[in-house]
Order: sequence, then structure tokens, then C-alpha cells
Amino acid sequence: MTVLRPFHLMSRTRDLLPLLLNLPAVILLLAFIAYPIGISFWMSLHRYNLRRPDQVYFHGLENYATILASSEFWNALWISLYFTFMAVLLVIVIAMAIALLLHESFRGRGVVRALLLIPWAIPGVVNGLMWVGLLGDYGAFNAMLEDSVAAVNYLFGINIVYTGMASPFVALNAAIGAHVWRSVPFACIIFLAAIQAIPTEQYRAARVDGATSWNRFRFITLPWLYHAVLVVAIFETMNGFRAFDLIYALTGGGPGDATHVIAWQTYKEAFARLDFGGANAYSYLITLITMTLAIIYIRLLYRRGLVQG
Amino acid sequence: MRMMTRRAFLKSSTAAGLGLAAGCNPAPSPGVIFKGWVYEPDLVRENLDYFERQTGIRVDYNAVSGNYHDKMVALHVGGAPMECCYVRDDDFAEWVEAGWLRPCDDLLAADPDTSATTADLFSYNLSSMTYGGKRYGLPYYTDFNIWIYNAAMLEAAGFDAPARTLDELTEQAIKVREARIRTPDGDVIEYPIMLNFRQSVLGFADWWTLNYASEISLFDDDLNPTFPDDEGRRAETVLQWLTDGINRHRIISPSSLTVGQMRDHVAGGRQVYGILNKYDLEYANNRRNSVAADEELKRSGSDALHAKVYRMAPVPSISPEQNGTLGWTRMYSLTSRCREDRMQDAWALMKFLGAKDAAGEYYTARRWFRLRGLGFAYRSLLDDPDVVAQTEQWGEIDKIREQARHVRPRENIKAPWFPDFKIYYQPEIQKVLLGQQSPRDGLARIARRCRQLIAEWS
Repeated sequence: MTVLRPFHLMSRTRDLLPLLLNLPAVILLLAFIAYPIGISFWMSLHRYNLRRPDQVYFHGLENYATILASSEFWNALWISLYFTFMAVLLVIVIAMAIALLLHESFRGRGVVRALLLIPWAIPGVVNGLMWVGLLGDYGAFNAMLEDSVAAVNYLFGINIVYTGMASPFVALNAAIGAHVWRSVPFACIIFLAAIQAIPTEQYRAARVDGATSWNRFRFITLPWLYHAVLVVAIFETMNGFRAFDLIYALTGGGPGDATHVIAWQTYKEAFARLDFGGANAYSYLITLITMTLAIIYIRLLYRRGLVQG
Repeated sequence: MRMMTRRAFLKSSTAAGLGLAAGCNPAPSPGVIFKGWVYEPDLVRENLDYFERQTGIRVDYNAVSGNYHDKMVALHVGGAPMECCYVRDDDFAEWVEAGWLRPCDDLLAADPDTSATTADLFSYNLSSMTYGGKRYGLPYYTDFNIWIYNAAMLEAAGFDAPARTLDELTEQAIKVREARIRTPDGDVIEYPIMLNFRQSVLGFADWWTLNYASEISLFDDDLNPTFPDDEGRRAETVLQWLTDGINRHRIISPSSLTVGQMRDHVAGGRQVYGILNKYDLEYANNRRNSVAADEELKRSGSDALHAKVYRMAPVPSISPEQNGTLGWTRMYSLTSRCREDRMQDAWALMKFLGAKDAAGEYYTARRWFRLRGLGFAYRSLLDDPDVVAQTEQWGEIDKIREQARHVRPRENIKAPWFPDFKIYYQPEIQKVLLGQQSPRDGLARIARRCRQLIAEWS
């Protein structure tokens, strides 16, 4: 029979103490994060339509197979990929340009930095409604676009019919524009923080060596920003794939299926068709795609040695 | 500053936690729990206050903001306590199938006075509140779509009457456009016709309206789609007319695909023709909302509230002898979670709101009509002198009576697959209107999906 000595007891208590202290947090994480993730995956393996609550049964990967075989999914995926690609690209370019500008000293810089945050603070649906106002029939942007098309028609003697947000091309790209407008501030803050961490000695040395401003940007600023670019790219990719509230308010998925992004398709499965099995499967597919893209980003940058672990 | 000890902090935290837990499980409401979408909640509350005074029954009313369908789905799935609620005919079959609504045949059978009001209902309203042979509701409001035209604008373009057929309408609208009629703001009207083809939870009511105007049946008795090879391919003809109107003749505004609130457009005097909910004609001809009505009344030096700037006409059809339109129903229904000890109170509330009050009057329906022009489901009200007099201020009662004879609900609205159909057909129709596919191909795709859904749900 083993007799526990006081020393062992103290040692075991010492070992258990961190676990016990973490237990409340672990329980909360399990209850509010792990459980919903697990249950939604379980639901994605079921036929579970609320219109037929008496016909819930396990049918394995059939929801996934049905989605992957549907043209709606592939159409939504391509639209989401275009939306996300354009959004990530524009956010990185515009945010970086603004961050570089805000890094310079000028009068009123503090005010401009504060103003920059406003779009980020606006909820997605409100952002969508605001752009509806701007791009709608009586909106200022709509009037500008309409007048521009009229001017082009007049100058070149052609007859382009301006249809505003009824044009699939305009609607999709307007949605991207509205998404970018709201996303730029966050990216800008990340870039600004990264720029401020660049040692100024490197710029001084480059100037002594006669480097042009483009070369200073290319060989000093940009390499220092790769980590920030990675963070922004991953974050914005996730945001792009999850874009829903803006689409809901701005285009309602139309015209046609021009703005049927994958998150919109998920919403339709869940709340229009009440197919919670299918909607959960859609959610997991979005997660899978986003994770795959994130892994690709990280591997690309690691492979090039641009980011250290 | 007084410092809090660790022990005191733990005690107060525990007390706060327990308080929160208790708050999450509140005592059951002593009144009838009643939920509806946000439409004039103050007026609803006034009606309920009157009911409470009449009966002494308390009502816990909650206006559910945002997307009513989605939020109510969440409430139903979550088992939120609720005695009765508003139901759209669009969601009706879905909610019955899900087991969220309770039939009220037993309550009607035990209540001869309310049961007698059934005979006074328009048939499309009664049909819309019945599923599987069981009655599930009493009407909140109901209406049908009407074709409207701006008489002064037509006159300015040289016409004294609106077109009756779709072909006549094309010719007339082209001439109206060429006459460069101006809005009250002075803008030239580029497109005389604006319709509502924005994707929404309610679907394309205007598509149904135009089809029903030409007396097209889109589904047979077994709810199989009849298009695109229906008799004379009329569904295709209607869709082709719409497509040509947008892309070829440019008489229908492309904004029809994006604009939501049609009545505001009309009230702004920005269109010559369109389809409106009948009750929105009151809004469009009321100077409080309508620039067009206000301008007209100022011109004539009248201090009246309404001007008949916009008038109603039969919806243009393929042939002149055809007539029809779409009607819909909004109803009050008992939920399946209605508490047994509140059942009679909830039924009393339903009767007050959806039928007659304690004095035997259609109190609520009349009040909605009087204050907001909302349509009613009871035929006898069309002959009520007050209703007639008020209607004549902004509309024409004879035309309304005539149109009311030709109203149809959507044929497949009670199919279990209607929600799936609704989200499928809207983008497909829009693709046709955008010229991305032909009307025939679009209709064929919709029909194919309908057949898939029928197989899936049978």
C-alpha cells in the first residue's frame, strides 16, 4: 500500500492548482465555443429542416454532397472568391497608402487619424443602408455615375444605357467598394503600427546610399510590413467570405444572382429554406475554404522567408 | 475611498450572478403574450388598450423589429412563450408544417358569433387561413394589387384613359415617354412605368399580378407548374413583355429591380404607371405623404387631405376581356405554445383584433381602414357607408368592388416547398429581366426546380 507523504500531497496540489484555476475559463470555452462548433457539425450530418421537425435523421455527408453538386454553391463560391480577392487587394493597397501618408508629419494628423476610424465603427447593416442612400436612384454617387455615363455618351457619340444598381457588374463592385470602405481603417491601424516599428536608421542609411523613395519603400518598408500584410490578408479573407450584412442591406442578393456570396447562400439555407442541416454544412465549407486560404498565405510567406515563426 | 475586501467582492459577485440567473428565467407573464411585426405599434397599443378596457384582459404586446420571419423562426425554435402572433400567408404553411401554429376550429365551433363571420370573408382570405382542412387564423389585414396611373400625366401626353392591354400599354407608354412629362420636382420622367422586382422575403407580387391579370394559372390543381407550355404560352408572353419593356422599349425603369418602397416613388410623382397595394393608393393620394397630391391640391386651392392624382384601373392583360389580380392575407394565429389557462383570453383577443369586438363591431378592421386605409377581409365592409365615403376621398369604391371579384392568392403558397420556390424564382426572373436568359429558358428552369421540389417534399 502506498502511503502518500505530505511532500507528495503538496506536489500534487501544486500540479493541480494551475488546472483548477483555469477550469472556469476552460468550462466557459467548452460551453460557448466548443459545444456550438461540435453541435453544428453534428447537425450538418443530419437532415434537419425545421419545416419537418418530425423528420430529423442522420444522413452522413449527404448535405455536403448535395451542396457540392449544386450550381448555386459553385456560383456563390466564384462570386465570393472574386469579392474576397478584390476586397483584400484593395484594402491592402489603400490602407497601406493611407498608413504611409499618416506616418508623415503634417498639421491635423491627429484629427485625420481619428476620422479614419469612423467607417470601422459603423455596423455592417448601417453601412449597407448608407450606401443604398448613396447608390440608390436619388443618391449622390448614382447621380455622378449617371452623369459620367451621359458625358461619355456625348463625347464619343455612343449610347451606353446606365442602369445603376440594376446592373450586375455595378451591384457587385459597389458591394465590394462599400466593404472596402468599412475595412480600410482596421488594416490602416495595423500598417501604421508596423511602419512605426521600422528602425529609422535604415532609412537614414538608405538615404546616405542614395536610395530613391521607391527603393526605400520597396527594400525597407515593404519587407517590414510583410507580417502586417499577412495579418490583414488573413483577417480580410475571413471578412470577405463572411460578408453578409452589407449584401443583405445593399443588394438583397440581386440583381439576378450577381451578389449571391456564399454567406448569403448560407443565410438562405438557414432562414429562407429553414434547412439547418444544409446551412451548417455551408458554414463548415466556408470555414474550410477560409482556413485553406489562410494556410496558403502563411506557407507562401514562410517559403519565401518573409515571415519567421 | 473605501476599499472592498476580497471576501466582499466574491459575495457581491455571487449575488450578481444569481440575480442574473434569476432574471434569465422570469416569472410567466400574467397576460396574453402577443407578438407582431413593426407596423404602427402605437396604434396597435391603442387598440389593445381599448380591448383591455372592454374585457379586463391584459395583453403583453411586443413589436418584433427587423426581419419578422427570421426573428419569429428563432423565437419559435427557442420555444419563447407566446399566445398569438401575426402571420403572413407567405409563411403560413411553413409555420403550420413546423408545428408552431394551433388550429382554431374548436374555438370557432364553440363560438357561433365569430364562426358566423366566416361567411362574410372573401374566399381568398378564408383559403389563405386554412391548411389541411383546418382553420388557423382570423384576418389582420388583407389587400390586393391594383394598376395605378397618373391621370394628369396621361392627359398631358394626349390620352384620356389608361391602356387596357399590354400591347396598348407599350404604345401608350412610348408616347408618354416621348412627351417628356415632368415630375413635380421638374425632372423629366425617363421611364413611365416602375414595377417592384427587387428580391425580398415577399417575392415578386407584380409578376403574379401581371400573370393573374391575363388569367394565367401558373400551377395546376396538383401544384405542378404549367409554364412555360401553358395555354398559348401566356406566362412567357407576360415575361417577354416585361423584358422588352425594360431592354427594348425602355418604358419600364431598370430600377424596378432595385427599388423597394414603391409607394414613395408614386407619392413623389415620379411615375406614370405602376402596381400598388390597393391601400397604398390612400398614401399616394394623401398630401401628407405625397408631393404629387400636395401640388395638385395647392393648384386647385383646396385644403382637402386627398387628391385623386393617381387612379386605379384593371391591370393590363394580354386580351382586353381578361381581368385578375393578386391578393394576400395577414392574419392573427394562436401558437402551439399558447398556455391552456390563457387560451380563452387569447381567443378573445384574436376575435377583437380579427373579427368583432364585444359590441359586435368589426372595430379593429374599421379602425385600421379609417386611420391607414388598410384593406379588410370582410365583404360587408365594402358597403359600409363610412368606408364608402372615406374610400371616395382617395379612390373609387366601384372599381375596388369590381376588382375585389377577381382576386386570387398565389396558387402554390401553401405548398410545403413554397419557401424554396420563393428564393429560387426571384433571381431567375431577374436574370430574364436583365437579358441574361430568355423568358422561355427562365420559366423552364423555374418549372424544373418546382418539379424537383415536389419530388423532394412528397
